[in-house]
Amino acid sequence: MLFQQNVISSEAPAKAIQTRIRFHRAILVMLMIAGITLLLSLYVYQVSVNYAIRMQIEAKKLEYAREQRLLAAKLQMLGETNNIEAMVRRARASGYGPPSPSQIRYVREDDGSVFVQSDLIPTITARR
Amino acid sequence: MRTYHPIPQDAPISHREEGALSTRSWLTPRQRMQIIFALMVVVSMVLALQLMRHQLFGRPPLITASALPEKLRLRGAIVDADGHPLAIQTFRYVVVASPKVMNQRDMPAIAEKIASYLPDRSAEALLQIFLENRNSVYIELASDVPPEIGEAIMADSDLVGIGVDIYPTRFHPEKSLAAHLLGFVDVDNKGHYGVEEYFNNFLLAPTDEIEPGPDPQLDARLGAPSANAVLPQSHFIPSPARRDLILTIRRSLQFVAETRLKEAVETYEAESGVVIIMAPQTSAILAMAGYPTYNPDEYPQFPLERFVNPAISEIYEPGSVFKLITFAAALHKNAITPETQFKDTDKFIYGEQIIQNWDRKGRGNVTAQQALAQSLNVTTAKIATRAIGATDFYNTVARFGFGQNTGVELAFEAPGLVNGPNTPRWALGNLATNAFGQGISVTPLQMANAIAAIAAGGVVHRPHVVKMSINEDVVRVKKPEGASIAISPQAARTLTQMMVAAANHTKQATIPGYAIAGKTGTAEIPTLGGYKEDRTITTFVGFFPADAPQYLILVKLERPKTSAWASETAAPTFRVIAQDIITIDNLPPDAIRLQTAP
Repeated sequence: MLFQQNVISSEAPAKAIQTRIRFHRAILVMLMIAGITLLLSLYVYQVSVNYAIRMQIEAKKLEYAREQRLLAAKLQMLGETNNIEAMVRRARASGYGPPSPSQIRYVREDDGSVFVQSDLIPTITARR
Repeated sequence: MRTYHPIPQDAPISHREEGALSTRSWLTPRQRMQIIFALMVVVSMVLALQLMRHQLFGRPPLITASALPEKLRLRGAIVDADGHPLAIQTFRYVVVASPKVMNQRDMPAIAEKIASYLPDRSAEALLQIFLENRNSVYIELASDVPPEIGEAIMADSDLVGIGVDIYPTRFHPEKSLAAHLLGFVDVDNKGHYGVEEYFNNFLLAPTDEIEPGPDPQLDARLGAPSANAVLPQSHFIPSPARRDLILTIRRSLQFVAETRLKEAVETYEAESGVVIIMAPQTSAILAMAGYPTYNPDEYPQFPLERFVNPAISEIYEPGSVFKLITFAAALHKNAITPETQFKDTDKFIYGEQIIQNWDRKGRGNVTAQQALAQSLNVTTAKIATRAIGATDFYNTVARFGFGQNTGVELAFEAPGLVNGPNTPRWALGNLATNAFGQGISVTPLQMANAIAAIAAGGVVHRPHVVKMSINEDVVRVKKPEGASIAISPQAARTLTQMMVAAANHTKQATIPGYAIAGKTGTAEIPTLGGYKEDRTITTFVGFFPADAPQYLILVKLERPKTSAWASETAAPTFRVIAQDIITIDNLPPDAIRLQTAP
């Protein structure tokens, strides 16, 4: 409205108009600088947040990988301990072994299933 | 509301221009240029910042999963049917140094500290290494340190210039158990032979950069996804790779097969041997053993030929075991019954071949049942040539799967060698010799699977070693695949009864209380000068309980020296393995099992 009044007012001096224009221009430049600063700060903030999160993710990944490696080492030990050959050797050294047919009794139940009994072990297993 | 004031025509030019500005654009061309320039500056700054971001904040200097090369990719576990580990992933820790990045003044302290982690290296020796290689960026200090030490070194921030390289490696808790079936994995993380090679691409876990392509064929081999699948209770699955295989192999049976096979090879002074244990109703392989074998963890120490799985890759002439196929063809064609009479002569000439029994004596009038039990070559050749005929015989042979891959999920399967009437190397006499397993080559697995088909009522299933698989969150369950109908159920039943009688003829294979259907085979080994009687391959194949087959066992011994006969070598081995299985699985005797409930 002010601008229009200036334009309409044919008596307004040209210098005053130019001053006002410069003022507007200065405001515009300041707004642009503020806007750009805001945009840049938002951008840098976002980048740094992203970076920090990514670092955290990578750290978690490394931690997870480390845990998996240590778990693998434990499983390796567990696997070695449960090696069937070693288990059989240990069992035989302790006096255990497969029963001979004469040491096994098959007991039939009313429902038709069969229990296996042995002198060595009270009840071995399984219904057949 | 904005009002529009028209500019009077008599207004000064300058005022008219200002007025025009106010309505068309309130910026002068110069201002527009300034704004464009400012925008360009902003865009340039953004671009520059992007560049700076990549320069300054680019990928952190850490090894990420997506940066892993192929050789560092995780590999899934292979477990047996009960979840016992057969091949699992472990890690090898290699301690390395970069003296070039070390400050020379810090070297003694670093050497002192790293020596505390590596008990077999002294601080003086390490310092000497650093000083002698002060321009090197990579020196291996220890190639295989325990995991806890490797991790501790990695976490120690004082050790500037010291690093730890981690390599996934394969570990076999059961050592050589099922080595031929599993295969091994080399230093580049690539599987060779057996399951490791066949499923190499499946077992390797994908990374962010290496995505597995769709492989419908492999998926089909692994079975359909199942939401209700119950995985075996095991600490080892799912593995970190989440690409795991659960095999049909049972560790206990595999152990029995390998132990008994080794004993047999040593007792009978054989050169090598094979044992296969199958579930005949589905052709699931429960154990597959070859001897001599190897430890996959120490594969570089063994000769190449040791890696070949003799159960699927080595062909041999099956000998008398193949008579079962001839009798199956005849029964399927209704050309004979067990009581059909034949005149067993001391010599039978067919084509260019002269056929004789093992003792060169004829038995006179015999039934088909007696001919099978006594393993008479002459009568079997007469059945093939007179009762069956070439076309039906070779069609039956093909239906049983001979001369073609069985399709088992193992690398390097051999198809065997069958010459039929349509092949140029076939002659008329071949029909007579092929009938009792001469001039025809098979793999032990083909032979076992063909006999499994008899046990399964004539249906030939595809033999398989994979029971289930884990792919990320998808569990697939393998279902038995019926490949073809070889013979009628009636023919299969009749032949089973004949096999029980044949097995009873071989006392060394029988187990009191259990009906076993089986057959011996003693094959002379062909050489350039013909067949040599003193060099034989002895085989026994049988299944039990005969009325409801649960286990099929094939035993093959190569060139036993203590005896050339299957009845004295392979048959007793079959019996001890069968007895072990009965004990392990608490299989009651037939009389108790078949007893009707009161």
